[in-house]
Amino acid sequence: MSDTHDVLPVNQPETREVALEVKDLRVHYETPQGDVIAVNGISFEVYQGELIGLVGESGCGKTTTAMAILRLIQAPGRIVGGQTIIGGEIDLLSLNSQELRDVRWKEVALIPQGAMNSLNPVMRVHKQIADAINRHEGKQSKKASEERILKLFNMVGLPSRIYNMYPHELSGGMKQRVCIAMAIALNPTLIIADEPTSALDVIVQRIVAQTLLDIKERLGASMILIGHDIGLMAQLVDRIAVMYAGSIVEIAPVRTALTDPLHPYTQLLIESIPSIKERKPLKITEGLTHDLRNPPPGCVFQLRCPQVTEACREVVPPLQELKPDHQVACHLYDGQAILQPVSLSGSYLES
Amino acid sequence: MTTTTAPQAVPKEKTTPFVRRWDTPWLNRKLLFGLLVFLAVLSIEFVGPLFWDEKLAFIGAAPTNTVPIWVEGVPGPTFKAANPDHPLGTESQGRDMLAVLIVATPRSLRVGLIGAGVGMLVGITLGFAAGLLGGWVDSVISTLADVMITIPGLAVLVVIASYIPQVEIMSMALIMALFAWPLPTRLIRSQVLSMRERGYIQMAYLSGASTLDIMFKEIMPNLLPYLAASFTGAVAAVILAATGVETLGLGPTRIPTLGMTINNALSFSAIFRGMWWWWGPPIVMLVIIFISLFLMTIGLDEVANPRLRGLQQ
Amino acid sequence: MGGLSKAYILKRLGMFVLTVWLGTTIIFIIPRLTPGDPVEGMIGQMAVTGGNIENSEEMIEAWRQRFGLDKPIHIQYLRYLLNTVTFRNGYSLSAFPAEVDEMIQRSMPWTLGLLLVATAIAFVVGNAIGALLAWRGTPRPIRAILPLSLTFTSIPAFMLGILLVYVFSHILDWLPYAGGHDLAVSPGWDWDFAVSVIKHAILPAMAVVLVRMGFWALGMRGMMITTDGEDYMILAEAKGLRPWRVFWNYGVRNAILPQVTALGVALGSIAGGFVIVELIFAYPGIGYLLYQAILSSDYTVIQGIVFYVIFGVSLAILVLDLTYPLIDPRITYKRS
Repeated sequence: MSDTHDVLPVNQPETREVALEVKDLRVHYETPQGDVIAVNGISFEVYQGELIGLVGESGCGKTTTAMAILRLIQAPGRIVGGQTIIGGEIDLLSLNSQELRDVRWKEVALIPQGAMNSLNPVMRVHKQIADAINRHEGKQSKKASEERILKLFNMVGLPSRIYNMYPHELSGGMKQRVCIAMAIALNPTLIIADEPTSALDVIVQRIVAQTLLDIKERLGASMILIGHDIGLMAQLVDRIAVMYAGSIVEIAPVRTALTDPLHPYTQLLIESIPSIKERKPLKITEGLTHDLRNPPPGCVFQLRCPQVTEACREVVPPLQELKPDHQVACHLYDGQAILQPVSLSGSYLES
Repeated sequence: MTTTTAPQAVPKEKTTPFVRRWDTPWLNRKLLFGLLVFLAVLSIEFVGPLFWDEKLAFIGAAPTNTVPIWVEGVPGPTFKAANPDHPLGTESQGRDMLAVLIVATPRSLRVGLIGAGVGMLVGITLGFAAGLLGGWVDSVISTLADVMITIPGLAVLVVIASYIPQVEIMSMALIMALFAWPLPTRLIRSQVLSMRERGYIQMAYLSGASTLDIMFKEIMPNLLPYLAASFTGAVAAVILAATGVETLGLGPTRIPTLGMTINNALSFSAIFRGMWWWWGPPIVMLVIIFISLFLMTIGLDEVANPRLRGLQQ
Repeated sequence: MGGLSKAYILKRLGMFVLTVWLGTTIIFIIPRLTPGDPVEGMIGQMAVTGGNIENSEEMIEAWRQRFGLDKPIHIQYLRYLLNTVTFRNGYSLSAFPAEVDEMIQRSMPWTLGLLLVATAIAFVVGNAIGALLAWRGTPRPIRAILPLSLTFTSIPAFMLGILLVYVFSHILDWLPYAGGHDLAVSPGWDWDFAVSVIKHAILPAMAVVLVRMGFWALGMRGMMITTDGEDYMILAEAKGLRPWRVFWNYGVRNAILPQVTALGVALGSIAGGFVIVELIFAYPGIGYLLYQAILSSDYTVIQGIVFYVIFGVSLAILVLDLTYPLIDPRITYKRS
C-alpha cells in the first residue's frame, strides 16, 4: 500500500487542487411538527486524488450530505442553502434540471449503499453501464462499448463472463463491484461511495475495499467514503471527517485522527473501536442526542460532551484549523487556531 | 471573536390535542363519502316503503308501458302517456318502476352483504389457518384458493343456478359465497405471513402468548383496514356476480331484484323500444352502489397503506 | 439466459390439469345432486319450464349409450371425464341432433376474436395511462383522466354496454344494435364482411375496454409509485439518464410485471363479464349461446359451454405463466 498519507504536502493548500468544495450546506426534513435539521451548514473540501472518509453514527447526516451533493434529496427533505462546487467551476446546487442531468455521473458519481437493490433487475449488467456511457458520450458502437465495459470489469476484478448476466445472477460482492465499475466508467471528478461495504461479509468487504483503493491509485479519483466503521476507514482513506448531528466536528489526516484526536466526540469514537490487542472496558457515552428539530444554542455536542463548558452552551464553535490540515470545532481549543490568510475554505478565524 | 448562534428550527404551528385526534387515518375522505352514499342506499329498505306502495312492484299492479312523468308525449303507439301515480313510469308487465327500485335494491344489497359476509368468514378462517399453521395445511388451502380463483366463477354459478328450480335470495347469497372466499383467504394469508415475521409477533410468542391470543390481540387489529377493504371489495364482487347471473335470467322471478329487472327489460327488447326508464333506474342504482363500494375500498386501502395517501397533492 | 426450469413448467401444468379437473368434476356433480336419472331429470326439467323436446326417446337412448348411465357412478364419472376432455360433449337437448361441441365451436371464433382484441387494447392502453399518470412529467389535464377512468372501473361491462347501445344505436344510430354482422352481408373473406364485422364489434369492444382500462390504469399507477421508491431508480437518476429512459426502462419495465400476473388472475372474471356483454348485443359468441341455452333449459349445452370456458381460461393462464419468464428474468430459476 502506498504511503500517500505522509506524502501529502503540508501547509501548502495553494498547491493542491480541489475536486469538491462544500460551503455552508444545509438540508432540512419537513415534519408535521417542524423542520428537522439534518445537515447544519457544513463546509469542507475534497482535494484532487484524495480519499476522504465521512464518519459518524446513524442519523448524523452523512448520507444526507452525500445525497445533497448529488442533489438526490427527495421530499420531505430539501436543500435549504449552501454551495457545492465541483472542479472549482460548477456549483451543482445552482444548475437547472437539464444541466444537472448533463453533469451527473460525468462529474460526480455514486457507489450506492445497497448494491443488491441498486441494479435494475430486468436489465443485463452491461446494459446498465452502457446506459450511462451512451447518455453522456453518445451512442457507442457495439464493439467499442463491449471493449470498454470489459476493461472496466477487469479494473474492478470482475470476470468477463458476467457481461450478459442479470443482477440476480451475481453475488453481493460482484454486484457491488459492478456498481463501482459503473461509477468509474466516465472517469468522474468525484466519486461518492455510500457505505459500500456495509451489507457484505468480511472477506468480500476486503475485496471491495481493495478495489476502491486500486481505483483511487490507478485513476487518481477523488472519493468521499461514507461509513461508520472507523477501523475499515483507517485502512483506506487519507483524511477523515467526523460528523455529529448534522455538523462536522473534526477533519484530520487519518493517522492523526486515530493517534491524536482532538474533538471529544472523536476521542470517544476512537476509544470505542474494539482492539484485538487489548481488552478495553466498554465506555458508554452518556446522554442522548438532542431533538434535531430544536437544537440547543451552542455546540451540537454539548449534551453528551464530557468536557463541556459554559461557552459551549451559548456559542457554536466554528471549524478552525489547529494544525496543518487538522480542523476542529471545539471551544477547548479557542485561541489556538493557526493564523492563516483566508484559504480555500474560508472558514478560518483570526483570534 | 465573532459569535454565531445555532440556526433555529423552522417552527410550524403547534398542534393542539384536539387537532391531533382528528388526524386519524380512518377519517379518509373517500372512505367517508363512499360510506355515506352506501348507507343512503341501504336506507331505501326502511325509508322507501314509507313513501311508496311496495305492492306496485308486482306484475300487473299498474297499467303497462307508461312513460315517466317528465316525458312529454309518447315515444310510440304501444306506450301510454305519463301517469302521475307512477312517476318513474311502468314497464311491460305492469310493474311500477319506483316501487321496483324500492323493493329490488335492498334485495340485491342483501345478496351482496350476506354472500360477502359468509365468504369473508370462511376466508378469514382459512387465511389465518394457512398463514399461522403453515405446512401442508397451507399448501392445500393455497392451492385450492388459487384454483378457485382461476375457475371462471360466473360459469360455475350459471350451472349451479340453472339446476336450482327456485332461486331465492339466501341461496343466491350462499352460492356467491362459494366464489367470494378465495381472494380474502389469499390476502389474509399473505398479510399474516408478513406479520408473523415482524418483531412484535415473535416477542409475543416468546412471552408465551397462545396462538389464538396472538391472532386476536396482535395481528387482527393491524389487519382491520385490510379486512374492511377486502369486505367492501367482496360485496361489490358478489353483487356484480349475482347481477350477472340474474341478467342471464337465473334469479328470483316473483319479487324483483335489480339484475332480474334488467333481464326482464332485455327479454322485452326494452333497449330497442327505447324504454330507458326500465333498464335505466336499476343500472343507475347499481352504479351508485358500485361507486360507493369502490370509494370505500380505495379509502380503506389508503388507511391500510400510508404510502398511498400522499397522492392528493 | 437459462431456459425454464422443469420444476416451474411441471408446476404450471399441474395447476392447469388440476383446475380443469376440478371444474369438470363440479359440473359433473351438480346435476347428480338432483335425484333420479340425470338425463330424464334434465328432460323433466325442460318439460316443467315449458321446453319442447322431440325425439326424446332416441335422445335418452343415445345418452345412455354414450355415457353408460346404467353403469355404476364411478364408471359414469370416468367416461364423462374422458368424453369431456376429448371434446365430445354430447347432443344439445333443444336442438337435437345438433352436437354441443359443434355449436360451441361455431360460436367460439366470434368470442375469441372480440375478447382477445378488447382485452389486449384495455391492457395496453390502461397500463399506459396508469404509467403516465404516475410520471411527474405528465401535464395536468391528462391527470384529470384518472378520476374519470376510476369511475368507469366500478361499472360492470355489460351495464356500460347497455348504455353504449342506447346512446350510439338507439339515439344516434351510428352503430348497429346487435349481432355479429349485418344479416344482409354473407360471411366471407371480403371487405364488406370485414367492415360489417368491425362495425358490430365496436360497441361491445368499447364496453369491455372502457371498463377494464380503469382497472389497469389504477393498478399500474400504484405499481409505478412503488417502483419509484426503489434503489435502482435513485441510481438511474444519479446517472443523469434522460427522464424518459428512466421512466420506461427502469420504471415501466419493472412495474408491468405484477400487472401481467394480475392479468392472469383477472382472466376468469373478464371471461365471465364478457358473456353478459354478448347477451346484451346478441353477439353470436359463446355468451349468447349460453343465454339461449338457459332460456331453453338446454343443460347439455350449458355444461358444455362451461367446460369450454373453464378449459379456455385455464389454458390462457397456462400460456401466460409459461411466457412470463420471458419478461421477468428472475423467474427462470427455481423460484415459486
